[in-house]
Amino acid sequence: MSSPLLRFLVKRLLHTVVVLFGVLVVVFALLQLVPGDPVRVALGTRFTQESYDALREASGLDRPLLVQFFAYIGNALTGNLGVSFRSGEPVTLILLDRLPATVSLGLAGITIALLIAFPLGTWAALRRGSAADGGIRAVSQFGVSVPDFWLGLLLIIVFSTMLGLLPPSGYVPFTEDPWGWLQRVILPGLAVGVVSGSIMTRYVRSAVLDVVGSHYVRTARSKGLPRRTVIGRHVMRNALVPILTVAGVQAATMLGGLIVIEVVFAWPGLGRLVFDAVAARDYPVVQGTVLLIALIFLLINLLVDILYAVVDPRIRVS
Amino acid sequence: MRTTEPRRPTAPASSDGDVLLDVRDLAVRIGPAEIVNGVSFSVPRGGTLGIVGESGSGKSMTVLAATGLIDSPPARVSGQSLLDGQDIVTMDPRQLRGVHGRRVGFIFQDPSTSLNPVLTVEQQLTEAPRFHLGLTRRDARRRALELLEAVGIPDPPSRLSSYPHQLSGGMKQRVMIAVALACDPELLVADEPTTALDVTTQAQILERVKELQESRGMSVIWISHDLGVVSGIADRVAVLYGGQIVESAPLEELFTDPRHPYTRGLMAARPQTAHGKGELAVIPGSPPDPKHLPQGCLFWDRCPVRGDPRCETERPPETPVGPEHVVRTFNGGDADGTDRRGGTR
Ligand SMILES: Nc1ncnc2c1ncn2[C@@H]1O[C@H](COP(=O)(O)OP(=O)(O)O)[C@@H](O)[C@H]1O
Ligand code: SF4
Ligand SMILES: [Mg+2]
Repeated sequence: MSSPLLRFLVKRLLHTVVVLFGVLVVVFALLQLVPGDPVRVALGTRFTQESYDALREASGLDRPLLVQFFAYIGNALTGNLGVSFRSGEPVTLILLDRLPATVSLGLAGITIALLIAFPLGTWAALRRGSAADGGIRAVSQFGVSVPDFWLGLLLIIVFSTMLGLLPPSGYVPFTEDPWGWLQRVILPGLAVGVVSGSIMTRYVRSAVLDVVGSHYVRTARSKGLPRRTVIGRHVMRNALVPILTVAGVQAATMLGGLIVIEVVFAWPGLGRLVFDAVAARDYPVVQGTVLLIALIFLLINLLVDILYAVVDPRIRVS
Repeated sequence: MRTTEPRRPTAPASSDGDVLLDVRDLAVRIGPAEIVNGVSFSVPRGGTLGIVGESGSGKSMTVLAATGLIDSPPARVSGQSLLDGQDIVTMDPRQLRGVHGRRVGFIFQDPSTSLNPVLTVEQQLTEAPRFHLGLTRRDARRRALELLEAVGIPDPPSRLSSYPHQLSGGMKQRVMIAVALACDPELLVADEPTTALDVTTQAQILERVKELQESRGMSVIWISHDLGVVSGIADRVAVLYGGQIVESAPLEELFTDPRHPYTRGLMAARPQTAHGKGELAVIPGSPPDPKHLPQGCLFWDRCPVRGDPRCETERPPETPVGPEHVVRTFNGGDADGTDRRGGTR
């Protein structure tokens, strides 16, 4: 691609690095903000002076704050996020163990959302004012107002308990058993995907409507091109720009929704992990998960911006 | 005085070999709005018709309906628009595709929004010739270079890979002209193509279109709200008001002998200092709301010479006042010039 695109990407990447540093600072401060002595709180009833001192030393909490800070940053940059208060395992290993489950559920969710939003939103826009348009709008309005955990429970009741078609919960890695993975990812994927998809359907519809009424689409029609060329080349390409923004926001929002859904479906991902870690006051794990989720968030934004620049040549210059 | 054979513009013309587009009694409704109300005109092969009227008088709707580019539904179009004897109004989408871009090319008002922002000049310039003429990518590219050259764009090869936002307004409009001419159309429809441009660029574009028209023997419909702009290119002029042609005449005759009070108002409103963006709104008031058209003459509420009792109750019919000159008024159709001082206050 052209060099303006490259310059844009470099700029965008630098921006990401700066934000990441800010996230590190916040995550470090998290531990300082915990009321009381985090080690003591974490040990709870297991408290003995020996275990207390050992854990304090192992976590480096006995050192001065500034030293702790730079040590934390340095360690984090080399992939060392400390050890779990609970199990003594390195946090990085715990995170890597849980990451694939969350990523596969997130991808399933956003795929389902896009599969819902694109066809329905486009269809509704191209048949504006028709019965189909009204129906799609009503259904998506309903989808928007349904809480995702409620939908998750409903799906479990209908498809597992009543129909016995799909397992109600659990996870197997895709690499071990693709079919088993697919069977288990469908219900939680739907639970997060339907809500996002409903929200995005409305955005897709209005984005396509905007473009259809634009002057350049009139120009495309004035060339006598086939309808599918006008829609595919002139309408969808331009509608993609605002849709990408919403898709990025939805992917990021979905990350938050995953925590609840993972709990509902006993899905061993980062959401479950952070839920359990908060309950157990396992602060290094909480810190590590927050950091990783922030990183995923930043990567999603970076990806959206890159796609943005690829689709819209005007972005590359600004 | 003109020596051409007398021909009423509304007379049947399908048998007449030198008429390209013959529009008869065209009307457009959108819901309760009566937007175009019985418009008839013809465009001679190789000739230029100017359509003039203030903003909202129905110019765009008239040509979009006449060329089949209007959204229908919601618009309901009646009447005829014969392109070489074939009625565009009744064509199906497939037949229309054979007309749009191929036989009729379009340029629109705002060059900054009329080109697709995410496609290169080459992509936008080659798609019609590739589709209509079946050109290969290479041939279409060669044709695109010739077209850019013809519309006066410097360094065409480097411009092919440009995106619209990298071009100035004038350059964008030249690209639009190239797009419109890409398949060598018989008719070019230019809907206020220079309104958004500065005066110098406006004049250059006008000259360029004139040259291209002469070298290609193409017909042109040039729409403007500015009588001055139209006088630079048109052979004959139709003045539109409330979706009706209130006066239509050969260019010189319209200037030397305007009959309709609205036309006279437009003349008076023109700045004497040549092509300015002389806004026509100097006549107090604005065109009628197409949802609530008056029962009588559409110009009645603004007319400085209304007086005939019929003005308020009847629509004045189209009246010939010369071999090629028609007018719609109860006052001015007479040739004795008793009351011609209208619109100059
Ligand atoms: N989609 C529409 N629905 C209803 N009225 C419309 C629509 N489009 C245009 N009009 C009305 O039709 C009239 C003529 O519009 P137009 O042909 O664009 O005028 P002009 O090109 O002379 O400025 C205006 O009064 C405008 O408000
Ligand atoms: S018909 Fe009457 S109101 Fe209408 S333009 Fe003529 S004089 Fe004026
Ligand atoms: Mg217009």
